[in-house]
Amino acid sequence: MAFAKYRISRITIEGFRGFTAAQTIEIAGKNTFVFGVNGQGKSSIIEAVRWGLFGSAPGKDIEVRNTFYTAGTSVVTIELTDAGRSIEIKREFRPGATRSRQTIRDSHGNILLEKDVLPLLARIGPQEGTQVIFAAQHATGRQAQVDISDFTRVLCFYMQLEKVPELLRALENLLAERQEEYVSLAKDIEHAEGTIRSDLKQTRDRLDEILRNPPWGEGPSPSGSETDERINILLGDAARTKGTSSPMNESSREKLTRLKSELDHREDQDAGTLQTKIQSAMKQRGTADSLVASLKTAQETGTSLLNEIQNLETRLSTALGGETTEQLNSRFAALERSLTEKDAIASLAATAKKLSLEYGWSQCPLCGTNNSTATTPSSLPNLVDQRIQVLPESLADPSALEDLRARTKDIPLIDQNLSAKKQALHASTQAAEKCDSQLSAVFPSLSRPIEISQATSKINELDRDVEGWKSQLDNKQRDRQQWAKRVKDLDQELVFHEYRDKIQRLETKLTDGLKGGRDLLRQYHDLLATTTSLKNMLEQSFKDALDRATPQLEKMFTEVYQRLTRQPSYDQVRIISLPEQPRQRELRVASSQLPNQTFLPNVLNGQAAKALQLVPYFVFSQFLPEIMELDLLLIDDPSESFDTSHVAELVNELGLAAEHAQLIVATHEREKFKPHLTKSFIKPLPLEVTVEGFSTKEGPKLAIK
Amino acid sequence: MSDIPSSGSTPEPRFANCNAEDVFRETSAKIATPELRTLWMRLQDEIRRQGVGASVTYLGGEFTRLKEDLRRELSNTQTN
Repeated sequence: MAFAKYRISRITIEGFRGFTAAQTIEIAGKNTFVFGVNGQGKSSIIEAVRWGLFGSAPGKDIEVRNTFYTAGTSVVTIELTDAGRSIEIKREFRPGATRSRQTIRDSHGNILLEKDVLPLLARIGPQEGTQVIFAAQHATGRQAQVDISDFTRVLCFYMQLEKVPELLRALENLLAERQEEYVSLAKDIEHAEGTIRSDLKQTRDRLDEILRNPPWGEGPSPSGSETDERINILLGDAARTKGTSSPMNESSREKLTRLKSELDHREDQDAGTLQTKIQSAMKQRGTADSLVASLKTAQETGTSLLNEIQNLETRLSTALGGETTEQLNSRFAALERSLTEKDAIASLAATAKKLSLEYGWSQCPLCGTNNSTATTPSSLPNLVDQRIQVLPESLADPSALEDLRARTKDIPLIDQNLSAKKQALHASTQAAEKCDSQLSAVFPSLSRPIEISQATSKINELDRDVEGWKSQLDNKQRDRQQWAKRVKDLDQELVFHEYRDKIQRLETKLTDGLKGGRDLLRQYHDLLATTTSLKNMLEQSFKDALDRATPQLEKMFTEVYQRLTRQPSYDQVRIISLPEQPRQRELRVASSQLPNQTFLPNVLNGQAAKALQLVPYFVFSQFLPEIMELDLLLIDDPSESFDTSHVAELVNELGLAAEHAQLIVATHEREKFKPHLTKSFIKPLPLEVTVEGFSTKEGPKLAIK
Repeated sequence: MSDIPSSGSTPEPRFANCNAEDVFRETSAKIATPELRTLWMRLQDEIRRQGVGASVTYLGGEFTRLKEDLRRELSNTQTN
């Protein structure tokens, strides 16, 4: 595939670091030197090109914004041209955005993808390669972005070894993950085995428990078919005696379960019926008991009342003495009257007698009776006495009157009592009738009125029924228990067979069932081991390749380094590997006088140390120039720490690099560089951009020549 | 991947036999067992066709396949 060979032909910077309003640098030729004193935006141009191409690390875009620029947007537009073709790379960081956005368009405005037009640039990514160098100003305090620690990556890129460390890293990560997974899988198998063993032990314990009290009694354990036969016999017995079903196309377990269910159902039904009868009879008995007691009380009360009534009636009859109450009253009144009359007569007679004695009248002065025979008044008193003596005796007996008085007084009390007793007798009779009626409802077979003895007999009959039913219930429960035991024994036999089969299955699982899993775990382990071996071989081959390249690289590095520094003491550059990071390579310096020792760059003076940083880029930029779609050396302040005598060598190296690469170099040492440019650079001479001044409002003032 | 210089075409002759393809070839030469050779050939094929990421994805898939087979096997063993 033919690659484009782009160069930067225009740079427009707006709102970026020191820049405010957009300023454009047209690069008609190939190379550019930016001169200016420090702090006026010279480095911003270098940084702008780098940012436009690669952007910033995540979260760092905010650092490029010019806070004095009111428009707020940071924009860098870079035009790349190649033989009349051009593309435009534009990176913007808008206010409120969290990261910048890059767009690439062709000359027709069509959007292009970086990986299509600048594939190597896309691979380099935001870290600098050698053809795109950014050496930051140490004086500004910013972290140097050309870092020797990137050396291995840069080395691999130019050696076309990138794929190997990438693969090694990926394999390492994969192995770490899968090693953990292997441990987890091994635990899964252990867990599965543990579960089976636990299950096996539990099943064996249960089987032992059955065997301690075998349901088949004495003798050897039955075979499966023997148990099946016993179950069929049980089913036949149950069908005959209990009327249960005897399905054929079911397993023994199903048959047994069905039989148990049917037996339970039937026994429940029968027991329920008997219990209902017993409960009903008990209730009937309770009612009858209560009614009989009530009836008995009513009857006894009635009998007692009858006796009392009889006594009262006798007393009444005695009091009446064969008369009626009216007669007695009449007689009492008459007797009372006669006594009154008798007293009056007696009084009158006494008076008459007195008068006759006193007066001797032939004629009664009271009644006018002629007493012709009375010759003398002395005969009259005798006559009165005679007459009084002939008065009825009753009229003369006061005790009879008292007797009558007492009797007539007693009779109403007896009557009242008698009436009350009769009412009570009526109530008692009614209660007895009610009890009788209710008892008749309880015992309809009895004819009314119900005798207590009949009712008691019936109650006893009920008691006998209840006892009978209870006995039936007991019998049924015993029968049920016998059937349940037969079912349970056979169920235990089935469980025995099931456990025995399960133990066999579990034992098979332990030996054969986990074999597949163990085989797969072994395969997993083998794949881990194979991958580890592969990674180790690859690692060794990678190391060998780097070791093969190292001497030649060291030679090339040393040549450039010596040209730049002319170091008399540390005159060699070495590439070493670190024991703890065998895949990494680092730069060291050495002395030809001490060939077996290497030294960290911090033994160098500032100029030599700076030169050592630039060496890899000058060397590597010679590699693969024909495939670099953008062969750019972007250098900020390369002569920092260089004394005047060495700047010529530096410019010379830059001139060599410029034979294939486009250079954009920023330096504050115009006077040192300027004299050497015409000697070291072939024409056209580099574009000179001079930063002549700076203000926060307008940014750097550029003079382009 | 076609944009990347092909194997053995390092323009810098001083570093011949030092690029990734050389490393891969050297690794292949060290492999003694057929299982490892088969795996490595397959990984190399993936690297050539789709890149390093694809090769590791393939390898991860092999591990995942074994893991899933193993889990399935265990599940079957435990449920049967």
